[in-house]
Amino acid sequence: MTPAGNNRSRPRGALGLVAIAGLCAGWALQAGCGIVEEVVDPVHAREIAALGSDPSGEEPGPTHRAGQPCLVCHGSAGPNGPELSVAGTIYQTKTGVQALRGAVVTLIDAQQTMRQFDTNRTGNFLVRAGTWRPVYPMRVSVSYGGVTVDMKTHVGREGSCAACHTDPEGPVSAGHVYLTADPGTFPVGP
Amino acid sequence: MSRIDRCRKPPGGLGRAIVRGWVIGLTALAAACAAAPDREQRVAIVGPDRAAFPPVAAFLEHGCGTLDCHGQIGRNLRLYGFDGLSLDAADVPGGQPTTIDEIDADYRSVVGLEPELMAAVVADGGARPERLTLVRKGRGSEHHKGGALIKVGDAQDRCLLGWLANAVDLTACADALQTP
Repeated sequence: MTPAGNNRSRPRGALGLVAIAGLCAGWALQAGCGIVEEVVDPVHAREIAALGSDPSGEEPGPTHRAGQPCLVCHGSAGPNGPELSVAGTIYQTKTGVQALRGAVVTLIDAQQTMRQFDTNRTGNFLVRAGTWRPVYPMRVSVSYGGVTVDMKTHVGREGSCAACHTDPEGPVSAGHVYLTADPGTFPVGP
Repeated sequence: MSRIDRCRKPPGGLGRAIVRGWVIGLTALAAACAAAPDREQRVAIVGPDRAAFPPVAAFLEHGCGTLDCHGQIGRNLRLYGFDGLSLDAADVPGGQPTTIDEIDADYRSVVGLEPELMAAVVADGGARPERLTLVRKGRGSEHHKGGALIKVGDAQDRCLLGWLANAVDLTACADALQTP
């Protein structure tokens, strides 16, 4: 083979790799976010793939994928809209996985700007990036039925509650976000 | 350049193959002759005073050590403590107060980032602390995903720099703990 032939074969190999990467990314997005679109960042593509399909069966929207890190798909890098700045899921108790509907999530950012958001029927709340982007660090509290619980630590920079609050609770995770540890003390109504 | 010149083939394959052979051969020879690393070799590192570290650790852990920042296993600057990662398998973030073992781990993490540079800064009485990535990133003078969290001369800065100079400013460290 001539040198010129060698030179021509390299782009074909590179194109092949790009094509494989594109297919992987596309598969990842199909598995995670439900759309086919290229995600160039392989780390991001893996995060999306790790989400898998939505076990709740909810249609895509504000009630879907409860308990998952929302900004993996709805962050500034996409791939899905709307872009969210903060979002998460609140549960009733520490041990259970019943969603807390009608709770008020209060966020206070480093500039002392306060915003409040309600949780929906799957316990989700979301902040559209177009309406507010908190300046970190940010403090969080949850209120429901006369009970208010402050997050023990501040949020450094992560907008997805579930990025840190995953089950099971352990040395590297605080477990899911809940209102009361003891089901017996859960308030009767909002 | 003429059209003919542009279409001319690059130098022949034989010459390139000879050069490649030499490069590979010399590289293999160099690798074979290099001495194997000494497993027992130790480098003495003189870090800042461990006994004076707890107030510094307190503000670092509080300000930098949440789970979404340096309270993660995979970080080079890995910080343990109440606000984030727990060293004890039975503990949880936000659970028990920071332990002595966690402060020890934080000390090793901070000093171990750039041990030779850290030793040099300490040997120089804390002079030119910006040699340390820890200081540059904290101040935001080097790209830091968490932004510029420390301002030159603020309480956090004075707490950290005082420790590097073996003269911890306890008041500054106490004030630093109030941030944010």
